[in-house]
Amino acid sequence: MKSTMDIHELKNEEVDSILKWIQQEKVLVYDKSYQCETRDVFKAKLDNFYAETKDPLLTAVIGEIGNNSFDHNLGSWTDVVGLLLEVLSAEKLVILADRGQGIRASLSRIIPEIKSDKEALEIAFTKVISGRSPEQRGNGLKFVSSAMQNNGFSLWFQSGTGAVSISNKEIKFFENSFNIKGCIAIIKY
Amino acid sequence: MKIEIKKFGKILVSRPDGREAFSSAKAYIFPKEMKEITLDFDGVDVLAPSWADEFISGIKNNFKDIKIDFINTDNQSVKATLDILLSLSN
Repeated sequence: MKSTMDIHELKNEEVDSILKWIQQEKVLVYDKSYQCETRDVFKAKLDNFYAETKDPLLTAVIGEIGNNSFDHNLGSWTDVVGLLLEVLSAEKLVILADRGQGIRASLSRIIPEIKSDKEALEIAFTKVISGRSPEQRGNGLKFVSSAMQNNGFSLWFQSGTGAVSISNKEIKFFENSFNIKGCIAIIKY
Repeated sequence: MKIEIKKFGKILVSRPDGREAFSSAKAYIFPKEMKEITLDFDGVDVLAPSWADEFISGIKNNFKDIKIDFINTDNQSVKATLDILLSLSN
């Protein structure tokens, strides 16, 4: 078994299509049936996901990643408002994507010395700090990381050119060759 | 006093919902002063740190030196959420 998740090895047309969409400079909604313009719509889809999977931890992980999009981007979406959530049940894949400001821009408001998208992701996934200081926040992605490492799920997450892959109790951060406008997360369960 | 968390919902995942739950409890459930509280997670399907952080931080910030107990925490998401929140607050 590979130690980390590689999105290019998923060979999934829908993943590839969303990846192309989220790299473009300016876009329209990818697909209205997957777009959650508000938190309420996202919550309803999350309720459905739990009803289908009966997996509390995976549902909590998706809830954390999805709600992060709304917490950090309300009023500052680049173009498309809200969060894309697509569940590919047969492939056991969940895709979340937003056209928000991204992790580095969010964290740079309180840590201006961040030098790269990769460094921003390392901070977001390993340190208790948040772009919404002075509120006591910043535990969500640590929770996601822990749940992924301890329960056999895999995650690939990218914002800008910074990416993180978590699988098989291993977490790896790297700079990717392409740029994500906002954030994208792909979970394999 | 004991609070049945399931009365706020069975899938508890966002900060606004956690904040709203705390505000409602403060207005209608909690006494003016409180030294101990038990949070009962029986019947909760999904708990995420965002909701729990808002609710528990609200209690801690409003009731100085309060002792909080957690019961019926076997659900995987409840356990993982409390583990990370309690480890970060220590």
